[in-house]
Amino acid sequence: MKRLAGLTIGVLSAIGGFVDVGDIVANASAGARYGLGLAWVVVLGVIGICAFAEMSGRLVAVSGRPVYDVIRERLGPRMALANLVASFATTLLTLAAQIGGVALVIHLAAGIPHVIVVAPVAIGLWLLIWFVKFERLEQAIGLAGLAVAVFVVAIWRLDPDWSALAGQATSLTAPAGEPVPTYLYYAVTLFAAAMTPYSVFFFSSGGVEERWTPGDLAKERLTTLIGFPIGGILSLGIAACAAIVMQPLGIGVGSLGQVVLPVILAFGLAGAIVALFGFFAVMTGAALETGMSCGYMVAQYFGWSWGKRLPPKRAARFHAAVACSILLALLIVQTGVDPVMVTELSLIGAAAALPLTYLPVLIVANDRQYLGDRVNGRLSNAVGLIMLVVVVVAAVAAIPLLITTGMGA
Amino acid sequence: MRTTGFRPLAIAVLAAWLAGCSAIAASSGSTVDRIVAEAHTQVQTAGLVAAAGLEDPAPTVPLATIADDTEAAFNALRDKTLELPDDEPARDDLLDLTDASLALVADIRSALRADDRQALRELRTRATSLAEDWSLRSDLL
Repeated sequence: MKRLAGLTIGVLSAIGGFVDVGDIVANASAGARYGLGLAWVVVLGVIGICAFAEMSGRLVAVSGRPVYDVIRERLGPRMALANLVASFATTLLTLAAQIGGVALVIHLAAGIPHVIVVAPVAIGLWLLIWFVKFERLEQAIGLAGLAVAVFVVAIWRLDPDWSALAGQATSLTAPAGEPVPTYLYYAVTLFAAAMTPYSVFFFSSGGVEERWTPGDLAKERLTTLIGFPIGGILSLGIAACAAIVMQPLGIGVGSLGQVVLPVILAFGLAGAIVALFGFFAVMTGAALETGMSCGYMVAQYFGWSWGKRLPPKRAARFHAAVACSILLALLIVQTGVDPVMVTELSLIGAAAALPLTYLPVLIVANDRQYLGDRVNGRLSNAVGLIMLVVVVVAAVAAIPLLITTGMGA
Repeated sequence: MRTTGFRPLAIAVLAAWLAGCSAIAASSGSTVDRIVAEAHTQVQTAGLVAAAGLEDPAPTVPLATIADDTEAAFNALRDKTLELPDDEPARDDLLDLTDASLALVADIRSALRADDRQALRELRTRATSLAEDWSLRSDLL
């Protein structure tokens, strides 16, 4: 019974933890422009993150070591340094986007300009990481993030044309009259939103924090294979709401307020409260994950003591790296730059850095030195290789698409 | 040695590639196109805010904040329009429409704060009409 409760909480946390400001912005923007015409990208991204998170989790459960640590040992310090630089820069930008996102939610809820609340948000984040236990953080915020399901419920309330939505969802090409590069730009941002590199670092480091063993493999697999797909459904709910309300009016989504409007139209004040609470929870959760991931990456590369299971005094450099990352992210958002723009840039940066994260994971997941008999099977390798090809294509195309389309304009 | 020769070539290819991308980006869509598209989005958003204000109870603070953001967007568009050359034929027309849109957003905010449902219904209709005006400009371009 206790194991079942643990599994349920793990799955629910994964659902809430899948969605972050990148998913929210990317899905709402794509939904407003293409309806559910890019749903296939979310499905692809969910398959990819499930495959690589499962590999990372298996590596942790069997070897007892986080992915980054193994990558450095297996591929050498130079390759690991390239991985570190790319992943850290992207994760830092993602952290800035999450902090900015939380500030935007407070701006919407209270009418206070977001630049005023950025510093308190960053300080609160650091205090949470410092004082609250890992499991409590993960579970409480993940569960609260389930409030984003209000978007899925709102679809029924908005009474859409179901056949039109289904027609969009089964389409795999750019709609007539839409420039293909812009369609591909949105596809790349959606894919990157689903496969953000920090997910792997946080997931694997979290496994070490929770002391996973081979006996936890089944739970880890179920958490991944149930939690992330349902998280993908929540993301598609956001896209569907934008498709129903925004697309017919020709509205291009460029602010968080626009994303919430369909839920307000469906449920009024109650909808606004639940949606904003859900956004606050998922973005705070993602800010915690990205902040800690920055610390995990640096500490694991340099071989420092790390983790929240240790008292801060024994993992001082890890906590210093986390604090510095939060400070840098705060400075980025405090310049007054639009957090939604930071989010879009972080997604393109993530897309460009994806191969540096996922190629080493695939290599290590096939190494018997670390995984013994639990190396990738044929199915894992087939899915991993196909996803790696997609990841490389997305990475190569990301920056040219950003420039040629003027950020999807 | 081979690595030394390869690096400048790789940098040159990368620079040419980025320059090419930038050239394509610069050639796609004029400033006026972008102003009209953004204005259309903002005026439709204002219309949705008016519609959402009719909910009972309505979330006044979030809706007023969205209206504030819309107003800020129109002010930025006004600045961009003022930067257009004086001989740009659409300039005055765009400024008139932007001012009308700004007035609409201010009225929506006032109606939200006063919980004036009748005014919100009328403003929703006005927003639809203004959105059509912006669409018309888009078609003429």
